[in-house]
Amino acid sequence: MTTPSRASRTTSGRRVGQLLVAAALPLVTAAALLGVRTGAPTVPTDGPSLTELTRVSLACPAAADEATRTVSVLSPTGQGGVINATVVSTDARSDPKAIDPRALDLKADRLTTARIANPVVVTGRDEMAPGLLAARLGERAGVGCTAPQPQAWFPGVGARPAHGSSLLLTNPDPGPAIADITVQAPSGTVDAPSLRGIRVAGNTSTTIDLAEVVPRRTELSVQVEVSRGRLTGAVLDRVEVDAGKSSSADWLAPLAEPAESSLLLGLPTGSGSRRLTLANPGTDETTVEISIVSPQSVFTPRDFPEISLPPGASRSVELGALLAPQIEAGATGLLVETSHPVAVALRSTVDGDLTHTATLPAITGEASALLPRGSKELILAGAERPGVAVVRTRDAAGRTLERRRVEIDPDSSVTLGLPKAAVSVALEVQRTSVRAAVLAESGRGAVVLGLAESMLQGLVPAVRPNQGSS
Amino acid sequence: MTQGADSRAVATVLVSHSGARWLSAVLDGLGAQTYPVDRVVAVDTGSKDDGVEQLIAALGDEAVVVSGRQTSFPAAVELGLARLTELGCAPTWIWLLHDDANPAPTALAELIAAADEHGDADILGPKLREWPSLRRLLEVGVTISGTGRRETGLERAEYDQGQHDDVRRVLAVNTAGMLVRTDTLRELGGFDPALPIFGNDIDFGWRAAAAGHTTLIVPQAVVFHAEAAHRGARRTPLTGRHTHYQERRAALYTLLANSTTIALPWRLLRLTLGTLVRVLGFVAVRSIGEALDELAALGWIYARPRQILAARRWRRDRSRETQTARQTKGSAESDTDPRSLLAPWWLPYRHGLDFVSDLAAAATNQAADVAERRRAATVAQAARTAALAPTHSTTRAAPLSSRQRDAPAEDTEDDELPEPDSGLLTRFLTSPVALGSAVFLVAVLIGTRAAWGSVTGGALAPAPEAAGDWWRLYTEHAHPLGLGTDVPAPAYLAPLAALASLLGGSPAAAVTAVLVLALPVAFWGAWRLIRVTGRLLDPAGLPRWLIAVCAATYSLVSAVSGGWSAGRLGGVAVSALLPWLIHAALGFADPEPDRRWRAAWRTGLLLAVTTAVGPAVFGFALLATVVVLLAGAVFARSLVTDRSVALPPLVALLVVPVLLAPWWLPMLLDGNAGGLLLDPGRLPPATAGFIDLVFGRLAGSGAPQWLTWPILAGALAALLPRASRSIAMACWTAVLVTAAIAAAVTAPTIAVLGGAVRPSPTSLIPVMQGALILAAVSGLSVLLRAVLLRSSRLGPVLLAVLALVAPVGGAMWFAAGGHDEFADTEVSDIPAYMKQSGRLGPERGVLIVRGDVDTGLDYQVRRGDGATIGVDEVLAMTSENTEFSVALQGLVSRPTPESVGALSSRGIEYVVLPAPADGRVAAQLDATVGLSQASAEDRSTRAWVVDEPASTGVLDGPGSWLRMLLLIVQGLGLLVVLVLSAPTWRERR
Repeated sequence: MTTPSRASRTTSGRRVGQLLVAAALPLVTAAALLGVRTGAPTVPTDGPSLTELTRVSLACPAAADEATRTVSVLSPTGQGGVINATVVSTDARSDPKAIDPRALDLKADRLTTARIANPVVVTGRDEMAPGLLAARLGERAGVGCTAPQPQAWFPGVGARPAHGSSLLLTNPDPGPAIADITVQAPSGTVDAPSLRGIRVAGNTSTTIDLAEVVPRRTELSVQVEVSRGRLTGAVLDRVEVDAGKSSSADWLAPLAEPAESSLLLGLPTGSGSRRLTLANPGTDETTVEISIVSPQSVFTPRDFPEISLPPGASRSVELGALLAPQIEAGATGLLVETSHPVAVALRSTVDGDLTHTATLPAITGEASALLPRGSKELILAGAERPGVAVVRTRDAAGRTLERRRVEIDPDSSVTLGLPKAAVSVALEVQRTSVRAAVLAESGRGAVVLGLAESMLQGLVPAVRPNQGSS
Repeated sequence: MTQGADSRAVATVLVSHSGARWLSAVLDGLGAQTYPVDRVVAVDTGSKDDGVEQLIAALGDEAVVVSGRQTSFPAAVELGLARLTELGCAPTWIWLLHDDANPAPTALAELIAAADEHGDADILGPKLREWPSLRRLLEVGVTISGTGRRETGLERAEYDQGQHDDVRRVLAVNTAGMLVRTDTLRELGGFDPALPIFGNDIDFGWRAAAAGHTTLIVPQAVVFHAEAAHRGARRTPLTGRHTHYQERRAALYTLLANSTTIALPWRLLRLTLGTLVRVLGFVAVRSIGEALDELAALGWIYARPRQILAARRWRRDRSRETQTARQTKGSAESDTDPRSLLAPWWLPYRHGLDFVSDLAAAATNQAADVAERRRAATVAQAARTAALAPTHSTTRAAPLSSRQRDAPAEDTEDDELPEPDSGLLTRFLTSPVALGSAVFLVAVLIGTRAAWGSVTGGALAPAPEAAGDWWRLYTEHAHPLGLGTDVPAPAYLAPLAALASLLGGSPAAAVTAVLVLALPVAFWGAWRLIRVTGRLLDPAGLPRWLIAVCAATYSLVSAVSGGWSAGRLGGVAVSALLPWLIHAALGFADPEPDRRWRAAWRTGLLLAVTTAVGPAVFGFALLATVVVLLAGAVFARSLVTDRSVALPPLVALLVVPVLLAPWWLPMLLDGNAGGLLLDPGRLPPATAGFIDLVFGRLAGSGAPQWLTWPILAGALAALLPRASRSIAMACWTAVLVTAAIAAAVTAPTIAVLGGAVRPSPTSLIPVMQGALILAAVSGLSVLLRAVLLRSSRLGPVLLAVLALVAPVGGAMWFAAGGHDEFADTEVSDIPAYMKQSGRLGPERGVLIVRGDVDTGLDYQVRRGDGATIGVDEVLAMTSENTEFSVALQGLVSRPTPESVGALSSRGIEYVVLPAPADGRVAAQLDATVGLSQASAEDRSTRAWVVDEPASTGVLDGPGSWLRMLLLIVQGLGLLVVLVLSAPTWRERR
C-alpha cells in the first residue's frame, strides 16, 4: 500500500510545484517589464561658441539738439587705430553721393569726438571691433549707438502734436534692407499697410514720422521686424512742455525682445508725469504686476494699480503721483512682472525735461558705456544671485579715475556715484548677472543710459544635422 | 461476299519491349478474342527479359521479328508490316497492340462491328482502361490542346460507368488497340519516325484527319493499358530518364509540324511563352526536373528548324499525293476540318485556373489543423502498437478517421463546409457569429476611414510618387539623399514596394492597403490560429462565437494600442502577420517530417517579413526557440535529438538573415547595428513604459485602459484551473519572453543623425497581447464548460459579456475615430516652388536651417519629394558630414566664398530659414556674396537661392558589387524559400 500513497504524494507535489510556477510566471513577467526603459531621446542644445569679433557697425541717429551734434567714440580695449564713420544719407532713395565716409583716428582708451549731425554708422574692424562704443550725449538727451538688431521694440511712442515720435531706420550695409513695422494701440494692432515692407537702401536711413502715418491720440508701441538685411532702429521722442510753449526731446532705446520680467532702472527726480507703457505682442491676455526697486528691497506698494493687457494691445498708465513719494524715498527703478512676455518702457516728463527709462538686458560679463558730462550715478539691480561687480571709470584721456568693487544681492539695488570727470564706465560682473543703468542729472535735465553686454567676441552658432520632418 | 470476308481480314502487330510481366496476359487476351485474327506478328525491340521467348512460344518463330533496342515504335510497326508481307498476308485491317495493352475478349469484335457500321471509318480505337485497376478510364480518344497538352476529355481518375460510351469521331486514338486500314496506314506513310515513342498516335490521327480519313472511338471495345512507358515503369533508350521531356518534345513537334502555315508564328510564340509559364509553375511546386524538361524540349525544337520544316514539307507532299489519288479515284473529299477535332481554345486557360486554385487551396489549408493531425498520428500509432486492444482504439479513432475519410486530404475546413440544404445567404443571415463578425469588420473598416486615400502624419511619412522610387531606394547603393549616403534602405521597403507594384504602382495605395486591411487580415489570421489552438485545448474545438470574439479582440490590438492612429506601420503590420506566423510555426509540431520542413520555410519567410516591419519580433523568435528547445531537451530529449524536429526551427531562424541580408549585412559592416532595432517610421520611436506594456498601449495614446482589464483578468485566471493551466503557462512564458526582449531592446540608445533615440517595444505589443488573449481564451473556455455543466443561466451570459468588453468597446472606440494624426498631405514650411524645383533633380536640394544662435542651429537637406517613407530611416542612420557642418557654421557666422561653394558642391539650390528665423543668422546670409534673397509665402520664413547652380550628378556615389550580390542572394533565397514552402504538388491522372 506504500506505492500508491507515494505516487499520490508525488502527483500532489508536482501539482503544487506547477501551481507555484504558474503563480510565479506573471510576477517574473512584471519584473521583466520593469526593466523596459522609456528615456526620451536626448536633443542636444549647444550654445554658441565664441570667435574673434572682426567687424562692428554702430548706428547713431541724427542729432536731437545742439549738444547731441557731437558723436563720441571710444575703443576701450587698449587698442588704437582708425575706424570708419560713414555719414549716411537721410534720403531713402539713396543718393550715393550723399554718403560721406570719414576716417576717425582713435587713440587707445581715449575719447574721440566728431561733430556730425546726420545719422552716422561707426564701423570698427579687426582689433578696433571688440567693445567699440559710440554715443550722442547731451545734458537733456542722450543715446548709445547700437548695432543692427533683427527685432526692436519701442513701447510708449506718440503720434500726436503733444507727443510725437519719429522712427529712424539705418541700414549700415551696402545692400538693401526691408522692415515690417507693427503699431500697437490700446485697442490692438493698428492697421497700417504703409508700414509693411519698408525698404531702406544700402547706407541710407529713413525716418518715419508716426504722426503722419498713424495719427492717434493714445500712446502707442512700435515693433520693428527686419525681414531682409540689417537695420538699426531708433526713436526720437518729443513732448510739449510748459503747456505747449516749448518741447523736450530724447531718444527711446530699442528693446531687443519682450520679457516676462522687465527691470527699468533710473528714475529722474522731480515732479511731473511718469507714464509706463506696456505692449503685449502675444495672443493671450496678460496680467501686470509693478514693483518698486529700492536700495533695500523690491516691493509692491498697496495703491499700485493692477493692470491687465489684452493680446496685441498696448496700454499706458500714469504713475507720476504714485511714484513721486517713492522716488523721494530713494526708489531707483521699477520691476514689471507679467504672465506673458511684454515690452515695457517708462517716459518721464519731469521739470520740463523728457527722459526715457528702458528695460535693461542682463549682464553676465563685461559691459561699458559712455557717460554724459556732469554728475551721474550707476544703478545696479536685478542680480540673479549674490555676486560682485567691479566698476571702473575713466576720464577723457583714458586714465582710470576710480575702481570699485561692490557686492550685489538679489532683491535690492546699489547706486554708485560716478566722478564728474568720468567719460566712460566699465562694469565687470562676477558670479551673477545684473542689470545696470546710468542716470545723469544736471540742472537742465536728465539722461538715462542702459548698459549692455560688451560685444567683445563674435558668436558662432553650434551647427548640427537633424532629421526632422520638412 | 468473299470480298466482304476479305475486307474484314485482320492482322495483329504486337510491339514489345521488356514487357514480359504483362506479355503472357496480353497473349492470353489476344488468344481469347471472339473475333478471329488472321495473323499475329510480334516485333520485339531488344527486350532484356524473356519476352522474346514468350512470343516465340506463343506465336511461332516466323511470326516474331527481333530488332535492336534503338528501334522506334514507327519502325517496329514497319517491320511488322514487312514481315506480314513476307508471310504473304495482305489483311484489310491492321490491329496494333502494345505488350502492356491487354484487350478484352470482345475488343476486336466490337471494333470490326463498328467498322462495319461506319463504312467510312479508317481508324478505330478502343476505350482504354487502367491496368491493373481495370476500372479507371485512361482514354476514349485523344486530342491536343494549343499548348501541346494531351487532352483526353476525362476527369482525373474517372471511373468507367459507361458515361463515355458513344461511338464518335475523334482526332486520334491510342496506338494501343488501334485498328487501322492497311491502305490508310501505307497511304499516310505510317507513323512519323521523328516521334519514336510518345505522341505518334496524335500526329498520325491529325495527319489522317487532314487527309480526310475518319477516326472513330469505339468505347464498346475495351483495352486495358498499363501505360508502362508514360509512367516510367519501362525505360528504353528512346524514352531515356526524362519521359516528360520526350512527351513534351513530341507535343511541340506535333503541333508545329501539323498546324497551318498561317497559324505557325502564333503557335511558336504561344508555345514559347506557354513553356515559360509552365516552367514557373513546375518550379513553384518544386518539380525542377519537369521544369528543365520543358525548357529542354523547347530548346530541342528551336535547335531543329530544318527538321520541322522537313516534316511540314513531307506532310504537305503526302496530303497532295492523297488528294491526287482521291481525285483519280473520284472519291468524295472529307468535309471535316481537323481543326474542329482539336481541343477548344479555352481549355489550357481552364487548366491553368484549376492549377492555381488547387495550389491556393492547398497553400491555405496546408497547416489546416496540426492539432488534428497530431491526434490522428497518435491514434494511428496507438492502433499500430496496441493492436491487442482493437475495440478500444477504434472507438477513440472513429470520429477522427470518419472525418478524415469524408474530407479531402488537404481540406479539413469543416467549420466552413456548407450544410447541404441551405444557401450561403441563409446560412449567413441565420448565423449570429457570421453576422457579428460582419458587423465587427464593418465597424473596423469605418474606423480606418482616415487612412483611405493618400495619408501621412504622425510617424508615417508621405508615400513617394511611384513604386519605382521605392524600388530604386531599395536597390541602389549610394542614395542622393541629404548630403549623400550609402546607408542601406530598410528591409520593409521590399514587400511594401512589391505591394505597391501589385496595386498599379501606387505607394499611397500600398500604405492605405496596409492600414485598412491589417485589421481584417489580423482577424482572419487570429481566427485560424485560435481554432487550431482551441482544438489543442478541447478536441471538439472551441465554440465559434468564442473564436470570433477572440479573433476580434486580437485584431484590434494595433488600433487600441494607439499605433495605428500614430501611423506606426511596423506595429500595424506585425499585428496582421503575427497570427499567420504563429500558425505556420505550429507546423513544427506536425507528426510528418515533410510538413515540419515546409513549416520551417514558411515560418522563416513570414518571420523575415515580420522582422522587416518589427525587428524586435526576431529577438522574440530567437529567445522563444531557445526556450522551447531547452524545454524539449529537459522533458523530451528524444524529440530534440531528432534532426527533423530540432532543425526546422533553426532553419526558420536562419532564413531571416539570408532574406534580410541586403539590410542587415551593410548595417553591421558599417557599425550601424543599432539601426536594425529601430521600427519603421519617423523618429523619435514610440515609447511604452511598464503600465503601457501591461495594457498594450503606446505611451500617452490608445483606447482607455479598462478595455484591456478583462484580457488581463482572463489570462491570470487561466493559470488556476488544471485544464487550462498548461496552455496558459505556455502563453505566459511567451509573455515573459516578450517582456525580456522588450527590456533588452529598450536598453541601448541608438545614435542617429543629430541625436540619439531609444528603440521602441511597439512591435512586441501584438506578441504580448496575443499571448495574453490566447491565455484568456483557454481560461474562458474552461470556465464556460464548468458553468455549462452546472446548468447555470446567468454564468454563460456573464462570461460572454466579459469576453465582449474588449472587442465591442475597442471596435466602438476605433470606429468613433478622431484619434489619428493623419492628414492627406504634409504641412510643410518650405515654399511650394522650391519643392517643385526639387523634383527636377536630386542636385536641387533645399538646405533647411532651424533654431537660433543661442541654442544652436539644426540643418537638414530636402531633396526630391522630401523625406518619404523609407527615406527617414536611411537619413537617420547616416553619420554627420562634419566637413559640411563646418562649412555651414562658417556660412552663418563669417561667410566666405568657400562656404558658399560648399553649398553648390553638395547640390544645394536653396537655403531656407523657416519661421521663426533667427534674424542674426538671416542678416549674415543676407550679406553673403553668392546667395540671393528668394521669396517665401510666409514673411517670417527667410529664403535664399545659391547663385551658382549645382551640376547634375554631384551626389552620385559609386555602385557596389556587394549590394548587387546581396540583392541577388536575397532574390534567389526568396525564390528557394517560396518554392520550398509551397505545398507539394503531384499531378495525378
